[in-house]
Amino acid sequence: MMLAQFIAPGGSADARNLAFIWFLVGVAVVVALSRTPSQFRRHVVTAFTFSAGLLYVMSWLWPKPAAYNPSQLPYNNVESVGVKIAEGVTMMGSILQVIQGVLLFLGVYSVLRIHGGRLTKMRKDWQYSAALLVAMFTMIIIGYWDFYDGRQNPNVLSAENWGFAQYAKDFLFDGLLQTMDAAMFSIIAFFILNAAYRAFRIRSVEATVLLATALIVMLALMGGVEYASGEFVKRVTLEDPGHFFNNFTLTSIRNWIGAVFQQPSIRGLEWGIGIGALSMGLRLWLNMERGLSS
Amino acid sequence: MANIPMIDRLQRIDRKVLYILLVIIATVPLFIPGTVIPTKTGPDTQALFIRLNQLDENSVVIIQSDWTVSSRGESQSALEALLRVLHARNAKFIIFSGADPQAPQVARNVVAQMNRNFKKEGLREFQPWTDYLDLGYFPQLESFALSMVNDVRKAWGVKTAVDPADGQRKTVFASPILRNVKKLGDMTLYVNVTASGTPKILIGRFGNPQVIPIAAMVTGVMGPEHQNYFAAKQLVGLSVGLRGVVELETMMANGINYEVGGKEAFVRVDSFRGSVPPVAEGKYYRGMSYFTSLHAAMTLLIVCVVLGNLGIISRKLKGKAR
Repeated sequence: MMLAQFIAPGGSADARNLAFIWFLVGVAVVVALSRTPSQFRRHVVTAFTFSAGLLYVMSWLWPKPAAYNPSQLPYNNVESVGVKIAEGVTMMGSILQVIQGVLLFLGVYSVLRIHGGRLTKMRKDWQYSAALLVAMFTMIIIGYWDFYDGRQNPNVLSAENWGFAQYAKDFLFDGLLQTMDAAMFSIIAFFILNAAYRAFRIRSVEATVLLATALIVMLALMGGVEYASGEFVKRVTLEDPGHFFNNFTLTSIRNWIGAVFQQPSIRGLEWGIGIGALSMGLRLWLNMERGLSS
Repeated sequence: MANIPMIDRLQRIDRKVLYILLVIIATVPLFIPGTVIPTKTGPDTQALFIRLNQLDENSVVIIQSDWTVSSRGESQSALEALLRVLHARNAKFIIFSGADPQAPQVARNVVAQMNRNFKKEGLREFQPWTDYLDLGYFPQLESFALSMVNDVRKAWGVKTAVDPADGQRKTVFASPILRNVKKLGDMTLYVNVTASGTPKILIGRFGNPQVIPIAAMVTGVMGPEHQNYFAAKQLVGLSVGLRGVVELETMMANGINYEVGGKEAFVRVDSFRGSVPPVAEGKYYRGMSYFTSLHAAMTLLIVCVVLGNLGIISRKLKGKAR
């Protein structure tokens, strides 16, 4: 309830004012923290990390409110705490989104610092830094221009009403950035082909088994081949569903490989990864991780 | 060179030759439209198609689109197939991204492209505000998913859209799509079209039983690990890679257990009682147009593996003969 005065509808003037006030508060806190002794700072970081983590741990452990509706009063004290935790998790989600935005800003600042420095001091390969900064600022300016146009006049969102900003954004984002992204990824196909030709050799029994399995899975991925093999087996078995030879369709073999070898192996791997993530999470939460405590 | 045996020459193909072969083999089929390769459908895509065809006009489907053009061949085809079925069912959808800041614009482009296609085909277009809502990007999917579970109105509350009736920007919960939505479970289905492992994040946070059924349309490389979640019924439907999209398109073109003129149904699902008519009879879309290229590239890959091993096999055979 107390927090209600700090919340405003998205995009409203109140929200902008509140965001500005909280930005100033954030800057003040950072400045204040930077002037405190490192011993005190460490306690602050530890306390924040533990409190934030505790909220999520509690949200798993505490009984969840049954059919929770924000407009209803909690049934008893246990549910009342559950409601508070649920609200806290939602609010923490918003805070984390803001932190992610701040991290993006930090990333931009870091790029500016490194490449701006290289450019001003004309260090080796300064031309690449210049290209990077020009590209970054052009994309930022055109992106915001297009966003602003869309907010002022939603009609520009349809292609018939596009102006300069929309054409420029389309050219930069879809025409250049996305196309280069796709081109970069497609290069993998050439590496795979080259590796298949030069490195995938049957030098041992294990490699032979692996190769045979890979060939079956690759053939099964080709729908036409799989379909043809199914039709062939149908003819051989005279469409008798109980015929033993039905076990040797490409589909059956691929499914057998998937169900007996592939999926259990992945389950085992994910189990191990999950245990590792749990132990890492506990170390971070309880301030046992060296990076935080040292 | 003339004295080198053929089998050794096949071991020394220059990589540039292989690259040129790949370019030709993968691109030429793209210029031959209308090729249809008959394909068997699997239980995962069948479940997804059946689930989508149970949607009605009041259904609201959440689409979390987490891909960029690096996986366009698979993911764009998947999103387009999904939008085609939703269009045919007249279902409403919410679209947003939770994994990549570039993804919302890529998804927006696909919706615009689909609207252009519908216009060409003389069909109605998706209308923002009444047919769909674009919520943009939500960073920190892990905490955001929990926020949606706890209070979807707060989690999406900051998002606004233009109401075409008065041209004013309003909260998305004023739209006819979300007006009556109080919690995540008030919507019908959550489909994650993704090139990464994001369905796992949702599965982990949507509880058991899930607050809303989750389906996934993933890329080929992400397929095997998601098959586990489909087998455990934590995903109600799954489409894997381009093959999955082609399977969906096959069902969109032929229906399920759908017999016409005494001809046997092309897609028969014995575990499903009843039949699903085709979305557009005999019509295939982007997935099938790429499928020939996939066949050609896979064939080249298999040929290369075999060629690369011919020398070893021949040496082993010679050794045995001695």
